[in-house]
Amino acid sequence: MILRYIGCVIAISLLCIVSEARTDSIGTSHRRDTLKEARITSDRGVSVKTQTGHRRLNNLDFIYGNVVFSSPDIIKSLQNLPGVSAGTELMSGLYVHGGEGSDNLFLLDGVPMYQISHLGGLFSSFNTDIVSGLDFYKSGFPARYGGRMSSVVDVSTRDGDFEKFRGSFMIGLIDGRLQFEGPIIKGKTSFNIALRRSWMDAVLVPTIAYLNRNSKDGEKIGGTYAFHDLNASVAHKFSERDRISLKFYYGRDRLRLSRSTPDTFDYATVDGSGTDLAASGEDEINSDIAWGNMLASLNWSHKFSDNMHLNTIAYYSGSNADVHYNWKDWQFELTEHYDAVDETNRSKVSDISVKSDLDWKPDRTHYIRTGISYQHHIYDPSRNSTIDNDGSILNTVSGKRYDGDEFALYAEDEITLFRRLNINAGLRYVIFSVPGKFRHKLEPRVAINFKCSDNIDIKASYTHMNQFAHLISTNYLDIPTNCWLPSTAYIEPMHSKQVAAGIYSRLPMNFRLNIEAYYKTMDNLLEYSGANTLFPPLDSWEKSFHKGKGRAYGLETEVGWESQRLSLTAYYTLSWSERRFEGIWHDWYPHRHDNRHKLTLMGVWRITDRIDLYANWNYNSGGWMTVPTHIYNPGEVFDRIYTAPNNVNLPDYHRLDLGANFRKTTKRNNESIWNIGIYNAYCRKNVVFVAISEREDKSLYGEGRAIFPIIPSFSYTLKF
Amino acid sequence: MRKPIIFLLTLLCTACKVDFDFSGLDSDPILYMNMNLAVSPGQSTSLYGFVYPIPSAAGERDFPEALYCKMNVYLNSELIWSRDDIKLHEFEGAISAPADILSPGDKLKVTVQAEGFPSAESTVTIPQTLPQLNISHTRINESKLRLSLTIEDDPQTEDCYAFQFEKGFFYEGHLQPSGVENLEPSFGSTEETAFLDLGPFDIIWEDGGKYYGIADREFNGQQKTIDINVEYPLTSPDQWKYAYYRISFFKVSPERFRYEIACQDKGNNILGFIGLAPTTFAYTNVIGGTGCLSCSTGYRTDWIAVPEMD
Repeated sequence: MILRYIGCVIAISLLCIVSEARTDSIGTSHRRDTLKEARITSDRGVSVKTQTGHRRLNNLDFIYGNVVFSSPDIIKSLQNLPGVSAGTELMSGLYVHGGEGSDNLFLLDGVPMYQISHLGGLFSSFNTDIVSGLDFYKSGFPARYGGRMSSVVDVSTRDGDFEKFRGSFMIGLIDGRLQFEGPIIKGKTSFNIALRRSWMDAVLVPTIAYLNRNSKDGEKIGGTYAFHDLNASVAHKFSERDRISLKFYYGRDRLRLSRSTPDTFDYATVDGSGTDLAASGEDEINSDIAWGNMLASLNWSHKFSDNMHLNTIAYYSGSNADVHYNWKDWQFELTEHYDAVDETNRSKVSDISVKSDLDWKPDRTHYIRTGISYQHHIYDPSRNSTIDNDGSILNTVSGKRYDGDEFALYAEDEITLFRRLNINAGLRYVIFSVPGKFRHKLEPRVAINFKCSDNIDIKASYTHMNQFAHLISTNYLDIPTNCWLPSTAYIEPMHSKQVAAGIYSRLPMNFRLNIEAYYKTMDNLLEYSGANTLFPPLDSWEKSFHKGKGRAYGLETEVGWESQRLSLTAYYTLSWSERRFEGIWHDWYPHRHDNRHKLTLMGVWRITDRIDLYANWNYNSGGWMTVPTHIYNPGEVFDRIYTAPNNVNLPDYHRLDLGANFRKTTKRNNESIWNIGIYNAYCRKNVVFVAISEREDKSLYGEGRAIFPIIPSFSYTLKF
Repeated sequence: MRKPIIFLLTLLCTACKVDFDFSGLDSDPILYMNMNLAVSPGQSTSLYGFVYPIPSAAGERDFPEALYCKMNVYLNSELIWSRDDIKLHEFEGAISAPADILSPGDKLKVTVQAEGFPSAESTVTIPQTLPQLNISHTRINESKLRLSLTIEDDPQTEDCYAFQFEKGFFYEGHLQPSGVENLEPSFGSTEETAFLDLGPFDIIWEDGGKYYGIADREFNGQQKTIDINVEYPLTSPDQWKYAYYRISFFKVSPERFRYEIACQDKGNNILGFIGLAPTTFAYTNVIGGTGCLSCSTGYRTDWIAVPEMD
């Protein structure tokens, strides 16, 4: 067992047998000046040991896993892991084993979260100040999880300290955070509150004002962006057996952009009459986009005995996105008039749920978990569009509310046989109904762990997952124009089957080596055309889609070495991810994030107790896109021919990130941390997208566009 | 909608440029085959369309004036037609046969070979028998006609449907209609037309007919009625007495439907062209080339008199 506190390994080896099969806080200690608290956690639970594709990440992983804007980030730490494709650079993409970003179940203290990022994915919605850790499953899903088909990210937050007040304050390049916790009734009731806000708007407003003042053609631009989120919790211990906690999350982003350009027309120039006639107007385009989540939950935990535990939670999870834009365009060619459009798109999804989980260990060889849950889903997308053609108004309203009910029942048993064999066998039964359609599905989940020796485990798993919620999207941008909608009579639930197996070993000299392989199939996938729209077709979304399937397979390797001060890790993934949509192509074709090779090298060097350095190097084969290969030119018409989807491999992606933490104890006995980070240290121009252009002879060429250069950043954190 | 997209792209395009060379991709020319086998039950069958040489975007784009290809047509793997002197650019409607040589479910394969081009081939399954089409109509105002079309879909197939609406005037003493034109459905809301996306292949074929396709999933193996408003403009109020319409009704192999959707998507997919939206515009069922081979089976109703206003 290793005891650690933020940024430093204390290197105390304990002979400790943890018999509890759970992650728990089992003790604290104090050492003046250097160590305020040591929280010892164990992840040696038997269920954790049995599953394939499971990782538990803690606060250190978040700090060392990401350096962008010196802000720890859960999603970007997960992107480093094998079997996970990050997608578009710096976005919160999580494409696990060939799945899409919307196929991941994100839980914040057991409550599903729909919008998982701020600022187009630059920051995730999870504030690491309050997060204690997460469990990430990409295969071998236990039966207690369901609803998404590619991965589970189960994030836990900390209850506040029951004994004393403490907190932290952080200011970074574009965001700031404040966290505070402490007792309300000492030893009985505590609170924990964490607030985060970006302050880019404070920089953008004067910058844009300066640009507008110096605009020569009268063009004026406007733009402001801000996000904030709040986590708050209150926990109360009624007794050693009963505990209740109330948790709340609210996060919001708002982006406003505008541009206005004077548009004038001189009639005298046209008719040659010399009459001084001119017309003018102002062309405008404005957009106002706001999106976010609100989660609230009440959790009651009851211990019947040391071997039986009941956890009941009631929650609300709501996500909404409002996209409003309008533009006005003056026309002077034939008559003087304007065209104007004013459109508002709203996407709302809400879950109201109650669920109860019972954990029971009847003896040393069984660990039974069972549970029941009911969720009421409300999907409510709408669009209101007004087209104003010089006063002639055409108003269209579209969208429809869907109410869905999901009932789930599961049971799993962690069985230990012959001391060396663990089997986690589970079954999940789900009923999903929307008006006009009732569906029920059975999801078997099996995981086996055979312990060859004290240092070598062999694992295998087989799982089925169903997904009744679909993110309807016409593009790959992480923007809030997409909407969630349920499986209906026309739209079948997405379904995945996955088999995984691996060998996990602890080698001599502190090395570890894990190798895992997986094969996954996915059915009832949906694709929507992005032709001429950023928004999904609300009226015809059940009809105008392409339905297809996917398959993904690969091999993941992890090699690690750890000493008291130095930790080195290498993740390598060799993978394939393909799609087959009969309406798109007659055969299998590569998924856009079919990154054949992915290599991540991570190193953390704790030079002293006060200074640590870390570096990450990420490499992956380029993604795929579709380029025209031929030109059909009957007469004067030039038509580009695309002979296959995703027919060209983008350039390989790689970048080096560097970071350092400098810690100090202040006069008031608080800890201060300066973090310095350099994202993309050697300024690799990684292609985000490719524009196809035409030469004079009509032949085609491509120009890749890289968006993110080297980004230095710093932050200052004070813990009190 | 274009403006926000262009605005967004303008922001993105301020980014650094990186050369991206894909000239090595498919530098050979290919054959573009666009054909439809039209079956009129009890009457005739004809394969019409064209084969065209398509130059590579990166390679040589000039072809000799006279390029010939060899075309083979197979029915259920049996060669039924072959010619080796077909001039590319000029092939059109060359194959006709009695309708009874084909049965629903038969597979028709066309292969085309030309020197300097990869061999192109495509296979299509003959659509199932047409279901009964029940038509009812009402006049909803002076210039608008509401048609209700009822079909019972075959759940076993993915065959799509297509309609063509035509108008004509039978003036007294005339046996043939005059002023025969396509009738245009009016879209915009569900009150107008039950299927807002009645396309996507509202295309005009070589015969000048404008066809509206409906996906199989609209019916989903059930009996369903679709309501369509069509504009029926008149030059004078009493012209109704002479007004008639007729409907051409087809079952179409799904490949045609997919191909026409792809062609529409290709018309305007700014994000898709730069890899930021799904590639829904590359569909072809021609292996080794591009284009589409499809089959349609259908018939045309007799002329139906437009009713009086209620």
